[in-house]
Amino acid sequence: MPADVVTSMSTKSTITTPPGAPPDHVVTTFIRATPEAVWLALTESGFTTRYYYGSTVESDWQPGSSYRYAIDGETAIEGEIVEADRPRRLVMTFSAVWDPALAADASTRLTWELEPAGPGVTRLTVVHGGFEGETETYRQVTGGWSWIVAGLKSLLETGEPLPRRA
Amino acid sequence: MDDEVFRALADASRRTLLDRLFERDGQTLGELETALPGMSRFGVMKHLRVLEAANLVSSRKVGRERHHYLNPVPIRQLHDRWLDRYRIRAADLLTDLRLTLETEPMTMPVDAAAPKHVFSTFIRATPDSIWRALTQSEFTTRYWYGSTIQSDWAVGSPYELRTADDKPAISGEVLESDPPRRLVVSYTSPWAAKPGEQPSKVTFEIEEAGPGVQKLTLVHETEPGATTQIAEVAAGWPYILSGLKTLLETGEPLAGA
Repeated sequence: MPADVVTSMSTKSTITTPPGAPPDHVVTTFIRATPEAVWLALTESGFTTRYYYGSTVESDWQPGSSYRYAIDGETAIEGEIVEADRPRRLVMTFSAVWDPALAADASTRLTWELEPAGPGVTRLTVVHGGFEGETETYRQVTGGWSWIVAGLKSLLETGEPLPRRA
Repeated sequence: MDDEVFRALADASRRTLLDRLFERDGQTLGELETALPGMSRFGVMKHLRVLEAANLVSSRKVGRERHHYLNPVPIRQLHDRWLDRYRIRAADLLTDLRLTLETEPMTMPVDAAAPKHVFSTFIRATPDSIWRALTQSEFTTRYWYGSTIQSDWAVGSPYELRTADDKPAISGEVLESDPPRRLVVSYTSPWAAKPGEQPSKVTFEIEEAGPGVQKLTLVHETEPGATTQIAEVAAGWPYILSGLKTLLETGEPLAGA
């Protein structure tokens, strides 16, 4: 992920984590699309390349299986599917490898929740937690989830992703 | 309005009808009758009329048939006004308990944790159109639960947001106004604070974030030591910001109705 986008501030801050660990990154949005459409957009490269910093994604999305996001063929994020309840909930371990500076960080946990919120509207919440401290990964993903979620919403509602900075 | 909605929801048959419409909108009386096999056609019609009176269902005549449509907005409003706040209060209680258990009482900073909620989103729109959407009723009525908003938006001026049924919702004073980039207002709401409590503060910032894309950041905060429960209202911001983004990017509100 490009640092100019991911280092900007954005997530909802809470004081809900134990001392020593930073608060989870939490981003919630409401999308005019069905949970099934949001699920497809999260799990198919045809969508992710258009809003997820150009990444492709590969997995069979079964619990215990691995997954991989790649930018121009280079692995950016990898991990394991922990839970997959299509189209409601997707939990995965998350190891950021897009920057050598992240190599020392422990794996974290990413949860996508999709809930119907009225006819044709889905409430999407992403929670990125399990950080051991304000690690380099924690710092670099700050702001990134708001960008990804906003782009996903634009793509599903308008057919077009958000244009990126050149 | 809340009373009618609560009354309408208090009946299991009416909840079944809403569930059926949630699964598939626009059903006819004949189709909805199958949801309540033990009930007469007139019984089902009577329940639909109660739902219509509470504004939870609207119907439209198409040819010889009448189609029924769900209107989720009143339930969403109930949820935001009555349920979210208790859920958050319960979560806060657990958090407080955890902090108490896991922190040395002597080292607990008293006012370091003034509540502050930060939300941001990215919108394909000009800064001016986002500013207008935040400050003019012709926009707010289409994404902010139907509310109107009124002010001249000069520093020191009052502003007021009123619900779709014209009840006071949010009010305060314009503290900073730098169109189309930065708006800071004090925030008082019957849902956020008990009478006499000091207002909280809301800051909207609009920054360039790419070609034709703005980053809208909203910060809702209180002064250190304030007792105002802003967590309750802060839970509603993602829905409002999502609706604003949808309206500006598609020209249509997020939810029908």
